[in-house]
Amino acid sequence: MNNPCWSDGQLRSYLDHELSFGEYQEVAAHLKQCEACQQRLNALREQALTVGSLLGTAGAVPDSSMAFERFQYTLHQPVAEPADVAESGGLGLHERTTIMKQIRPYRSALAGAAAVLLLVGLLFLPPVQALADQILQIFRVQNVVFVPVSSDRLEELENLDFDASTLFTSEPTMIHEPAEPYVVADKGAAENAVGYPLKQPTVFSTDPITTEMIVKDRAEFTFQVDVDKAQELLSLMEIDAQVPTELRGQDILVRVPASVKMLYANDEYTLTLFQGQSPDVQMPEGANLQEMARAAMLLLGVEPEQAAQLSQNMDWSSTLIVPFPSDIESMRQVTVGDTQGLLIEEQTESGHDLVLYWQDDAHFYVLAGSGFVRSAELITTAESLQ
Amino acid sequence: MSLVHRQSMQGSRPVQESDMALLERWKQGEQQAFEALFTRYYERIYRVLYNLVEQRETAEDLAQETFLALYHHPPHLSWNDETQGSGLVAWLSRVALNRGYNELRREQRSQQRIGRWQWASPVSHDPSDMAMRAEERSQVQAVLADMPERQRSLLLLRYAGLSYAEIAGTLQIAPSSVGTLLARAERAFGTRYQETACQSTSGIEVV
Repeated sequence: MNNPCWSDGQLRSYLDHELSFGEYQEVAAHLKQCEACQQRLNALREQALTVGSLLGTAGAVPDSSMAFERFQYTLHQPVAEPADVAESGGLGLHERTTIMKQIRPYRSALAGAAAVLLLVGLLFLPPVQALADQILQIFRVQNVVFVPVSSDRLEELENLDFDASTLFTSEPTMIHEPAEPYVVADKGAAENAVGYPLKQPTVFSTDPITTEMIVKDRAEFTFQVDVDKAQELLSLMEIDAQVPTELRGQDILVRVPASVKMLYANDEYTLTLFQGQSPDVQMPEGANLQEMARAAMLLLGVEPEQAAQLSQNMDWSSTLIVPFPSDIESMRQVTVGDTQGLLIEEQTESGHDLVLYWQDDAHFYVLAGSGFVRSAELITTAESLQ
Repeated sequence: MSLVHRQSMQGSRPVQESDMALLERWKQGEQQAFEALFTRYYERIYRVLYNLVEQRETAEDLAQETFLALYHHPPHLSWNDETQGSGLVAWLSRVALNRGYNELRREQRSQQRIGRWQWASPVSHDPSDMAMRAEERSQVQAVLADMPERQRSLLLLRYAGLSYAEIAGTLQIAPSSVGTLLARAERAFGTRYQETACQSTSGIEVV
């Protein structure tokens, strides 16, 4: 074959400059006179760009020298007894926590802030009106907001081209840097770590084979909101509400109490029980929480009248935000013992997912089940908590 | 903010030392040599893992484990290995991929990852898991999970920035086949991604 065309593989290598110099020259020369190869090259390039845009975005890659600090930290850390870790995550700010502070401050603070963002209504929420209404009705006394997030809405917000991180004027300041989540031996150890009584299920449809308890340390931090950016976001979303100007240059204090995840699994099911307490948010003096709540309700897609009403009925300093996908199939109110709960069911390829939410006093519980779990069984397990 | 003071990186040498040389020095117990290797490859290893497990914290933990393996059991490499691309990067990538796949299998077994029910976890506040990116990321992961392991690894390695020779060394394939396999993997990925994108937008009412 005279003047042969090049294979996809060779063209692909050409794009990555992975050919030898000689080959590279030959391909380049060939491309100038072969439209077919040129077209294939373009297609390959486009393909690679698409893949690159999806795989090449690992977000912010951790700084390697920070990672190395962390590495050294883990290295010189004896395999800690749970109580040990709990202690180092406690108030005694000795050297270890100081190091940890430098390693991951931004992430966890932002993480906590992310939860709070929803609360102050600065994040994007979908207009799934009926659903939001319904849930808010159920839980409004207990100060829980479920935030449905639809894929459409996400797309819409992506197109807004609004960088949520600019809503903060600076990196949040950690007051208490949470320790990494860690495994504890039993309920007693978990209670010691979180500092409030915990419950665990005693009845299962079939006995679990593996159980695991994981403690997520408490976090405490302050952050500031960029009032102008927040206002800009509201107007972008065509929401008629004012971000309180009292927020300008003022710290918002957030306390996220420690929480616990308990895992129970066997061949048939996996049950995960989360329990915790509502986060506590302290706004600068004079800031109008209700106005912010109203903005949040409007973003949620709640009708203006009702948004005003709801925002007044809630204690916005202790509200838990639970986001959920809006395209779930079924959601209903159920009774867990003598309190009301919310049960969400969904068929999946592998079976059946169930999520049950309820609370008593200041504690909230989320029991998630997947595999072969019937809703009645899940409720029975929930009611067996002791 | 006062950073923990470290000497080694400041006094770095004008000419980059080879992996082999650093590895030898590390085997002699020179901490600085280990740190140099860590710093040199951390990002790439993290990227490989992040695209595999799709979770920042897990990726970081696995990257740490990967370097822990290097710390405790540095591999024996020959100059030949290094010049042919199956040097240290390849070794680290193999360790990372193994751990990553193991982690995924472990998760699958315990069905801990209950798909999009992640939101139900008040315990997970990772901002990179936040709703914004979550949808796209989970779609990427679903597509990757659907691909044969080798194709998947190939994409992960390439988009973490490994050269063809390094990829070939990691996956133990002929360097000359990387371009062909890569083009094929990218096409497969693109097609599947398109398909799932279509599926997920259909059936949802337009706002």
